[in-house]
Amino acid sequence: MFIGVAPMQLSSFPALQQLRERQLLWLGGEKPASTARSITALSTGFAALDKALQGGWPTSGVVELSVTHIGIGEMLLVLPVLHQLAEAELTKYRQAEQTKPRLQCWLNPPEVLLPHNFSQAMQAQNFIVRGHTHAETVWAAEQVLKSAAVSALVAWLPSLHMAQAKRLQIAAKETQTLVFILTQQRDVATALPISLRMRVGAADTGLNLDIFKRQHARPVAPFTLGLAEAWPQLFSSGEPSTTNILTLPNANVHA
Amino acid sequence: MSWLAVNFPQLQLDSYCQASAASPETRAIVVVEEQRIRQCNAQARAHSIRPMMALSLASALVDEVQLLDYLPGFEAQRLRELARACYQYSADIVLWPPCGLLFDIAPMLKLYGSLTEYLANIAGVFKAQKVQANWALASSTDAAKIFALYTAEQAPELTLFSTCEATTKQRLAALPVTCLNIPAQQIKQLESLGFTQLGELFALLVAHTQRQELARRLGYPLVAYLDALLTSKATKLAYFVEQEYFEQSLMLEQETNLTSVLMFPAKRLLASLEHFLTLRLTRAQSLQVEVLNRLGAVARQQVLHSTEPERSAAHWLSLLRLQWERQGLSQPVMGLRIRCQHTLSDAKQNADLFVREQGRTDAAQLLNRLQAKLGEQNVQRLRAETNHQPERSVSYQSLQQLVQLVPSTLADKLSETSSRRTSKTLPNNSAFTALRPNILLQQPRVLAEAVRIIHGPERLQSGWWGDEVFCRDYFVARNQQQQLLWVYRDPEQTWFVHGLFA
Repeated sequence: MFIGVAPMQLSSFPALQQLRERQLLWLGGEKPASTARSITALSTGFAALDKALQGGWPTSGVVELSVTHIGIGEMLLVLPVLHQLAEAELTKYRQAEQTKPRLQCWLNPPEVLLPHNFSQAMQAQNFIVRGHTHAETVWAAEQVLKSAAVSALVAWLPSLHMAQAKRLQIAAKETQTLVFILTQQRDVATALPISLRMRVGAADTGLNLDIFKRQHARPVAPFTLGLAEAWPQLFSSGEPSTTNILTLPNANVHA
Repeated sequence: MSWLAVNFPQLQLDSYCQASAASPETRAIVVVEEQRIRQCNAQARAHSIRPMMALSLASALVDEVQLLDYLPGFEAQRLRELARACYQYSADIVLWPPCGLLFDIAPMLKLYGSLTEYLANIAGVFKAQKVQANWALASSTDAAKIFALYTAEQAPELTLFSTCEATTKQRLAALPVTCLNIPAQQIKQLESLGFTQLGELFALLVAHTQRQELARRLGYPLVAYLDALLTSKATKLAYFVEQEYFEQSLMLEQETNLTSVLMFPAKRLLASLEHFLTLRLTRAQSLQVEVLNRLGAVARQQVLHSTEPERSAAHWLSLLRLQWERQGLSQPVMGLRIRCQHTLSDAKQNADLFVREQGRTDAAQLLNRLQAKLGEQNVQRLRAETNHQPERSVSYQSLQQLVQLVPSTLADKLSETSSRRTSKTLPNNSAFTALRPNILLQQPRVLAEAVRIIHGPERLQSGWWGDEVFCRDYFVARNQQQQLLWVYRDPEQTWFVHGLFA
């Protein structure tokens, strides 16, 4: 929440001063001490998105991508940054700073995940985890985040509760892990204590993004991110053409 | 020669692991063989129950007594385990079935300096294993056996006895003839001849004519046996040979179907596994865990895998706990055995002293934990295969491969020429790589909605040489929900959805 109080007047409001000491309230333009080290951001790989996020994805913490439907191109948003992270791990490994690159975890992907759009570094570092129940999946996510061996986590979760979100956020911050959680749009109205939340909708030219929550920053007005340049086969750059509609009035249903 | 004989009067009973470590024995427990008491605990002794007593008499003496079947196989195994534990401190060990061990102590005294020191070490083993032991020292194995069985001494008093032949003879002479390890019929014969103490027999051995007479009446084997009792001549004995694997078991007093009860014996077994591995500077990659039923037979066998070689008991215990939490027990069980057949040398771990190992051990621990809780098939590595058929273009690898292979495969890639660097950038932008969705449906679904084709076709035709002939035209299409579908048309003009561009 933003409250219009000039800094010098703050001392005259003991209640506000208390909130500030507990780091529940901060002054505009000032970042809490705990996030001071994560000022640098990771480029998203899309200039327009970098600009909207003032640099890119946070270097660690939970990012929620709330999609209208699975399969509108939402994973395309995270592939460039995962590639970048995987390459960074390889570089560290090459320079012998680490004995082994950290891994990237894919948690509960729907159906079969195809690694064909992964770069080689990503292919070498991936592992897939599946939980049978929601509780098991969240448990696995927490275990992954608590480990120093993972650089990024992509999880498909039907929903995310307050307590779970907070635990994941804290664990991700502690081990400097970037987490993407893909949820389906249902209860996006509830406030969650995570780094970044955005609604992702489909568009012919790319994705409609509504960044409605950012930690320590203002939300961004909804905009359409053009993906035609990166994925010309999937997205059109201009107006949608209507000449190639294929209708299947009597779809041949074979048993 | 001097020999130490140790007899374990209640080996099977001592091997039962009390469900709670601290609680004193409150019930009388006896081990029964063919309606006779074979072993009894302190509580049973307090009720005047003695070994060799008939079961009917014992049950008359005490109201409530827990009966356990005598398990010879289990006891033999425990004996080998004890020998293995002692092997750390003493080189020449001879198994003395069913429940004893013989130690050749003369060579060991050079190492330890004093007998007290040596005995304290051996006593420490039995104390750690929580078995009751009767000790005896003598100049020959046979004499030591007799002392261990009939004049049971405790470890500290032992040092008072010297092991010279004269003392041994003197002590033997006072014992009754019934303690000789000879057939019962011969003992009767000796008694009918008027012998009561061994000393009377020994006196006959001195003169040649009397020896001949004794041998004529009772047979040469008896005379040879008596000679062996007195002389410390080296005899050919089958010394215990250490196996290079770990195997140990524990039995519970009562049947249980709770894994939480089994955690206690598991902890003890794993601690002794850790000790075993530490002594040998080795680590274990996998363990066999066998849950035993009340007859000592294997009720279920499990294998615990660790992605990295490990020795710490805490590590294995946490893996075991997760696996048991997931699977539970299908039937009441009474014992646990842990076996580790292949160990790996520690040398490799030592080589990396100055390299930061943190990330690596963490990865292995994480993967172990996930695997133990979720099952091995749910923690895997994804790999792209070079196969045109989309269903076969992806394969799963087990994690053992992930942890071990990642560094080497990466090293291979690093050594590749930089001309192949183009493939390291995002491959989807390359004109040579085909457009593939991120998510493939396990089963293609018949397309039953209006879609808009936005890309395609791409014909995939393969498998003409085998049974799996397929020919499909793939398109990218958007449906009403704006999902990007990967659809195909087969030769019969039927449309299917096969993937999603997530």
